[in-house]
Amino acid sequence: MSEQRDPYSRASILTSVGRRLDHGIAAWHRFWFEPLDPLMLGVMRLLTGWLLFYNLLVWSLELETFFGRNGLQPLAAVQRVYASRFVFSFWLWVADYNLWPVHIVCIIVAALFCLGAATRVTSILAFLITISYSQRVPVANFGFDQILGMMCLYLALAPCGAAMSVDMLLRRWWQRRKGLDPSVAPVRLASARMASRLMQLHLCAIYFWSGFSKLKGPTWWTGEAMWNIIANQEYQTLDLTWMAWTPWLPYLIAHVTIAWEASFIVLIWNHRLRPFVLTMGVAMHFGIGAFLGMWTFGLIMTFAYLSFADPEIWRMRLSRFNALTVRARLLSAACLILLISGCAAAPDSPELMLARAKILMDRGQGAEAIPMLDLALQTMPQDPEIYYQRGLVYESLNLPEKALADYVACLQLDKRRTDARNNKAVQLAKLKRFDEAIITFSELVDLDREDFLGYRNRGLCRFEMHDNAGALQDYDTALDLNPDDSSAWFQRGNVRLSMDNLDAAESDFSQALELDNEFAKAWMNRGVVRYRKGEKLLAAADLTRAQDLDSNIVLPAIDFFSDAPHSAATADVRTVSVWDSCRPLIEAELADRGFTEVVFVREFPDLQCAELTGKFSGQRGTILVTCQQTGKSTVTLPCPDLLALAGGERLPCTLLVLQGPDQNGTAAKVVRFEQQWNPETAHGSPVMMDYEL
Amino acid sequence: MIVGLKKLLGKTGYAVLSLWLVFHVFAVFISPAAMPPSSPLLEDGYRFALPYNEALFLNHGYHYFAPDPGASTLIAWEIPREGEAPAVGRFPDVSVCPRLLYHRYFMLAENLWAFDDETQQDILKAYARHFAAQFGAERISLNRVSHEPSSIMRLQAGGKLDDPETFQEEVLGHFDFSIDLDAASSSAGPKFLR
Repeated sequence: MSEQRDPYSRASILTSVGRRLDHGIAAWHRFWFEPLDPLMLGVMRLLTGWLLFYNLLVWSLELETFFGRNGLQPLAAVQRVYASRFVFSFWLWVADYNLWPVHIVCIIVAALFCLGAATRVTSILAFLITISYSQRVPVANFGFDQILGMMCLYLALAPCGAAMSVDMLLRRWWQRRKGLDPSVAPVRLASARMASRLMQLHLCAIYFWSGFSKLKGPTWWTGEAMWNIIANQEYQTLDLTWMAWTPWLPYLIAHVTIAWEASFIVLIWNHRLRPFVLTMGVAMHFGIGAFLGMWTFGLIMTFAYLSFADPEIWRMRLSRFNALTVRARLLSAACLILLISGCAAAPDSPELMLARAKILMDRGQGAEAIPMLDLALQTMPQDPEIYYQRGLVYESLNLPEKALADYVACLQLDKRRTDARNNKAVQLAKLKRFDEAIITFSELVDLDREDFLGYRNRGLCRFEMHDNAGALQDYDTALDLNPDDSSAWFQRGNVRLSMDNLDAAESDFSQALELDNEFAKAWMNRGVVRYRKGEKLLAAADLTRAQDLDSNIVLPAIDFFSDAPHSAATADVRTVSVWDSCRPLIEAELADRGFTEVVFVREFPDLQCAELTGKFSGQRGTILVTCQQTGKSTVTLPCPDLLALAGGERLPCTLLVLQGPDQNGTAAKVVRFEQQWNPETAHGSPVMMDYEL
Repeated sequence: MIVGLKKLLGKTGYAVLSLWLVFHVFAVFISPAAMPPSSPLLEDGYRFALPYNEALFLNHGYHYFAPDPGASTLIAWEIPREGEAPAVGRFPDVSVCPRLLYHRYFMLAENLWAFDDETQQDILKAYARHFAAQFGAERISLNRVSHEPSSIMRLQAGGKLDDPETFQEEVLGHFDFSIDLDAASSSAGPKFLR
């Protein structure tokens, strides 16, 4: 009886580990280096070489445009991108005058590689050519270039000229000539196995990351991603928009695509599943070719699948595949008939009506959307979204009562809709029902404490209700939540202005203008604040800017010549008429200077300025008369652009400046007369300007 | 057979070959793994393999149509002409044939935004010069056009893939190459305005 060895003894463990290590090394060797018939590598070289050749022929159509030093991919810019990087492209050193000779050589090399002539050399050159073209035009690259580069790399490492090649024919011819038997069994090579494995693993990496990267995107989870690809007009070559009436189909394709790509790395190693996995891949890539027009990409991917093919059973499997294709075609035809028969959405379905209404609203045809939404509500009266959308339409048509009713109906069906609640409150505010609006805004901010719009709008309502303290509190909260909202700064400025807190109001308006430099009302109100602070020139600049931005803004009747600051609302508008007080002096002066038919047109009371017309040498012109304040070297005048027009054209303008009369009884006198007065305005067309005398 | 290959390469050669295979597979897998968002560990691995991947043109993400396929990008150009309507066009232009060339132009519009600002501006200038030269023009404007795919419901409701509201334009710049000609000796290019 033999003695039992202790399985836990040191010797046994060492033996076991050694045996497992030997098995591991043998498995490693079998996986990478077990000799393989290079037949499929020859086929892949033929097909890849053909695509490389075709790619170069296509580049021939616009060689200078893409590869020229100053072409669409400027050499200097590309070199800068590659600075300090290990990127090779011989095109980076080819001068423009050598573009065509080098390109033709490359085409010849690609043809030789495709045919398998001098394959040991041409396969390496083909790889260098592939990456050189791709890396010279980095912006124009896409998936096809990546996979072509991968294939050429592994074919350069592989004995791809050992089958299906001119090299093989020449070798046989040479053997015959030497009297040897050329019909020897195909040689098996370790390098063929290694190159095939590298291709296989690379494909696994591609699909693994392609699948998992899609999982980062929400639309791949919702299934919309596939529809977005189908509906991408720049990609599509065949119209698949009929799938809009079978939406489950693009959703299904999206889910299957991810499942297939992410599981490829595992399933492909199962010999029973491999044909199924590869058939799915072929269908997907042919679909990409047929429907998205990327045949080159689809083909190069499927060519790489040949690395999984067993050369010995290739013919047998090919015949099986052919049989499967016939069955698959019959199955596809049956599915197609099923898909296109009666799967379209009902023409008056509420979803369809809602979508049509949204299109019309996008196009500004809200009135036409109403009947559709009415129809949709007849079918689905419990759908809050339809009420909400109809409320939006009514709002756009300036029908706040109807909009309010729809938002109320929407909220009755779904109390948590903050958008509908906000819009309901806005309608109440539009209808001057501020009490109810404040309550609704309060409900809104109770539902969502982060809703800055709710606080801002409630602040506006409180301001309307003269609750300045409450309004300020709301604006403070709104600005804490969203300090980038220029309207909130502006509205808080209004509250502070009404509270006579001028510095704080000015600061708020300035902040609003910091965020939005074209906020006309903010310019206007800051001008008012500055006027009330006595900063007249700054105020004039702000008000001028406001009216530049919005010609509908009516400037307040304020007097810029008064020394004492006034409230904008209660500004003491001076109505002293230059024409009335100095008419004899003006008429005498103008008569002396040869003016006839002098007629008063209007007065600019704020500026102490009158506009007249008169004739000089038979030509009618404008005469601007103003009074210079004592101690001032400038007068403020209306801009010439604002003066009366004749037949759409501005008349020649004359300026007459008077001084006095003053309180001491000094008579008025003419201090300046300019016959052709046409000053340049500082910027744009301000409403008024300071003119240096 | 192990013996045969080892005899051919030597033990060291066989080990080096095996190590290279491990490294190569690692390099192929790590390149897409480091596309954001990714961990510092993956980024370190990516940087380690980067020179190798760049040298062999393996530095790819393989994020096809991921994470979300969205709007496609086109570039529109407009050339003002004296007394005539401006010449206008867009690329990619679907009439470009063969399809592979169309995709090259498509990528010019789609991929440019992945590059740094300076490269973008240089390449936009090259686009502008190319299309201006076709009309012998010195001034040209470029716009970036985003074309949103229409939703399923929108199509069912009668919308079309090319409805005007699915396109959005953004001014990329106005180029004046007459300045280029004047300043050719001082190597100053046309001013790019954004």
